Amino acid sequence: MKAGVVIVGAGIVGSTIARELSKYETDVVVVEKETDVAFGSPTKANTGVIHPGFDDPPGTVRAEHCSRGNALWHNIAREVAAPFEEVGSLVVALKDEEVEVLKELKRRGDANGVPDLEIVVDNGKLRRMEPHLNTGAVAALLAPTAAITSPYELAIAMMENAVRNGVRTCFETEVTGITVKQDRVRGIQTTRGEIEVQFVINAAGLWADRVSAMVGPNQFTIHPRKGEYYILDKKAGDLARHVIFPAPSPISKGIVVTPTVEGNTLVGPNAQDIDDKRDMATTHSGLAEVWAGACKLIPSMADKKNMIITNFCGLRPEPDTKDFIVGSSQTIRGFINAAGMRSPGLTAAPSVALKVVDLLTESGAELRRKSAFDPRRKPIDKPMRRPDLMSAQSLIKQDPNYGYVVCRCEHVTKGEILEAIRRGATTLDGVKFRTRAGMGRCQGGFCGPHVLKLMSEELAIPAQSITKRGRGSRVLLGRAKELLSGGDSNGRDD
Amino acid sequence: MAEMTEDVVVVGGGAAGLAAAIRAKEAGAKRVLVLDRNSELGGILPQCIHTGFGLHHFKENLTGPEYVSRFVDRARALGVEFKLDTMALRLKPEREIVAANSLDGLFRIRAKSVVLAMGCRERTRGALGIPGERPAGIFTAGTAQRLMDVEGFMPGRRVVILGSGDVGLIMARRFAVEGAKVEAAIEVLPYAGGLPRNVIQCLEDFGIPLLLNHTVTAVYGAERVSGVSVANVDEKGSPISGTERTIPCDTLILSVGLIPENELSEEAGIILDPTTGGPVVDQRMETSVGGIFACGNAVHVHDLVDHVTETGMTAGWSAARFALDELEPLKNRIRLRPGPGVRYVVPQIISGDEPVTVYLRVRNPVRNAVIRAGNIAVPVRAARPAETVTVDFTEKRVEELRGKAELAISLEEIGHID
Amino acid sequence: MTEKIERTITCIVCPVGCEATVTMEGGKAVKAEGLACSRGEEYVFGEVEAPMRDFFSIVGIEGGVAPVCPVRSTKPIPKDRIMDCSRELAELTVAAPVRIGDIVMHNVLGLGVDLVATRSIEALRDKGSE
Repeated sequence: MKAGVVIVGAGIVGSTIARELSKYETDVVVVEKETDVAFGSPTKANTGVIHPGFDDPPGTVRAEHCSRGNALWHNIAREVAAPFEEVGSLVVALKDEEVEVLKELKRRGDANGVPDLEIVVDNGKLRRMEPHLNTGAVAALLAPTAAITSPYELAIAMMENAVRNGVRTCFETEVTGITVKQDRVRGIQTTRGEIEVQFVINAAGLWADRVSAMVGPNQFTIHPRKGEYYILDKKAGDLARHVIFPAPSPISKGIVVTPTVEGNTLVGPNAQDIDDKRDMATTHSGLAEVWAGACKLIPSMADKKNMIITNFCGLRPEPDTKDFIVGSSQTIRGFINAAGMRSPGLTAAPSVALKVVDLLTESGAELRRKSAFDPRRKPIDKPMRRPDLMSAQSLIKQDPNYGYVVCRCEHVTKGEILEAIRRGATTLDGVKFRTRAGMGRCQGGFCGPHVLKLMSEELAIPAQSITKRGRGSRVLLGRAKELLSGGDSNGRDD
Repeated sequence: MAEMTEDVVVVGGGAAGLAAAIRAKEAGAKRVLVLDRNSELGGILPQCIHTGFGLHHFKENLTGPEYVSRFVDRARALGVEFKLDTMALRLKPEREIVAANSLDGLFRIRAKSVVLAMGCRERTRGALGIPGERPAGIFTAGTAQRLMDVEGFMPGRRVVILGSGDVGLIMARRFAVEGAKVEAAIEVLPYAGGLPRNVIQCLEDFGIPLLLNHTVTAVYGAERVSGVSVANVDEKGSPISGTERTIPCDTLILSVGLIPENELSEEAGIILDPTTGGPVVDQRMETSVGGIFACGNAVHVHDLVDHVTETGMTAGWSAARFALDELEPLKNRIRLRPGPGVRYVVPQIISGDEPVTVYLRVRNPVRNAVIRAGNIAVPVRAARPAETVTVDFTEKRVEELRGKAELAISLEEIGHID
Repeated sequence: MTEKIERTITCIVCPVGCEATVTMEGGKAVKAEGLACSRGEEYVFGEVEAPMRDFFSIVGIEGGVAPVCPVRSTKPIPKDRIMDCSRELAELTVAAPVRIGDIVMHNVLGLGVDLVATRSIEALRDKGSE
């Protein structure tokens, strides 16, 4: 296989770079070791905040890209029809000493060009903005340009648009080596074969250091920092209207309480440095820490424990350089890093993508703009969740599958599930991320068997081969009766 | 959008809904329509392939599918209308329903009366907050039951069951009979959640250990379940550090609670009882919204389908009389409240001027107890939380309730079951 | 040989759940202690001598709208034959249509008990599609 540019990683960074590069007449291939877009931990499991840009010290690469990325997302999210809500954020000082931190954040924000920052000290105003906020809140930094999104939906939308504009994707394809000759990239080796290419963009998230080591001694290392989360039922109500942050710590923005674009409440993440990049387990102590942190900001959260739908954890790709690594390799031509992009990585992605285009050009890539780039993506229609439910009638007339509700909790129809499969979902999680089937309060208890059946029929594969998220994560372990011809069992012959 | 008018609309075509539809027809309602989200009637019963159904109602020992087929046949014979693969999306207190299916699209139904019979859903791992990884292979017992006994799959080969309620016990047996290895049933309480008959016939018969005073503290497995960590718990149900051990398995089955489905009820502003999770109902199974009735597991989680049928019959009869404008308001309303020893009482409101059967659940297993309600004392030989206790307020007993607005029903125990 | 053995059985006839100690002589139950009433004796004697169970499972269906059909035994079978019965059933596939009550397996394991279908499964109209 030959390509003009290979992007390693189909998370939010890789997808955003792919979409940007799809504006140019160059053959782009994305390789991803997981089974679908956004299946890697940083993108799949993060708070989904598009940050205003006041957290990052001016002069850092993060600062360079965060507020620009924020501004870019306003347009791009609309173009690709991904969820995006500018709810604003509040960094809350619960103690007098923390007010100094707010002032420092405002100084940074002003230096970084973040618009409309305001330190609110009027308790009445805070109470009106956030009725459930801890009454002990002393002050809060209000940032109107903070927005929320669904990180995996956003990545999926970007990649869909990229693919529509000519990008090719290779899933379950792990990069095993990079061929370098005369100090320039000539190709990459993967578990599925070789690709002849001269430009490689390293957007491999947690594994970016491993990829970068393939072209020479490592310039950086990535270590995982775990963050755990809870999601609350929509019925828990409007516990937060903005993204509510505590005053930040040196290593993390802190445990947040935020609405989601769907109307749930998301709380988390804590921050725990770990060694194993594959450690995706939530922990008793981590979850307890998250809950305690959330209750500090929103005390009425304490009696909503029965509203918890689920918990999960994500791993941040923490670079030892303490900043994003966005740049061309100093030694090998054609290798460009977009690595270490933990928070505000999602926010920064579109700005970094533009930088990557510059870096490619500087490295000798010939990038001619396409005349026929279509920036728009048509989202999967969710008829039962339109504000005007009755307007779905014409869609159902065209395609009766949109009248058959499969996921009772989220009102997802058969039409949407089939659409998701046709648009690339090959796993249960792939259907879930595209449609929300299985994300409601029964967590797939009712719709799960139906989705399996629909996937089996639509993909013409036995249901037993369907996985939750690829490879060994099979949902079913065979057909009934298969075990009775032998093997270990509880059969007693007394 | 299509609009229909019906006399009685029943949401849910399971045991409760079918009984309600049948009784509504028998009581004179002309147009009775049942909506169900599945492609066949029967609710949960078609997947309950074990026996034990109908001992009271039919005096026979039937399997779930056999039990419900009798009601399906009768409902059809009476001319009840059905819409399958249909989801009720909205309910207004004015008895207006919006529903959807592929055939009719979105449609509105104006009903003279409505019977809510949505059954219940299962508590999930997420709601329990079990830490660990998120592999494939974690199922609630009912979902595993559907996958096995309707779809014909093996959800797992080496299984741990969390929760010793009846559904979990029954699935332990099903896995064992189909050749899987069931490693253990894990129960946080000091006693099994389900009926003794099921502990014997589902666990002991198959040599499956029951670990009381234990819980699952973590799930392992990057892709598919590889094992669970179990630990002893103290009297408060908290894991005791240092007692953890790992049980290798590929499947975790959760049987940790059933929750009455009441999304539609809440939408219509119906008052729910926070203990049962279902609507507050009177002895005619009417909710706080006039003309909307409820029955079956949507009201509270039953242990015998025969009782579900009874509540359905009551609701159906009442709904028909309401549709015909012949349902007199209750002359008195006595609010029944659970007192010491009693977790909940259904119906929550009785009139006190006619005999009525009340169902209650006790908090702890007891032997030789007395149920007290005002001056009434009803002896109870033995009772467990897993088995609803029926209390017949006979004509004589009911007389003693005259003039009361509220009545606490409590349980005074004289002996103890361990 | 009249060896006396004692076994403990929980009676399940009513919610009390008496724990009975049953004395067996030569394989036959002769005495039960710990029962609060007489109904339990028949049950516990049966349980120690020859425990019987209803058998129910699923059988594979060919050419039907569903892949399996639930079945049950017409009468209880010996408890220790449950797995044998299940293995027998695993060898069988039944062609649709099946009507509730149809005998799926006659005189299973020679026990004088049939296995019958407990629901009806229609045949697939379009045979070519499966």
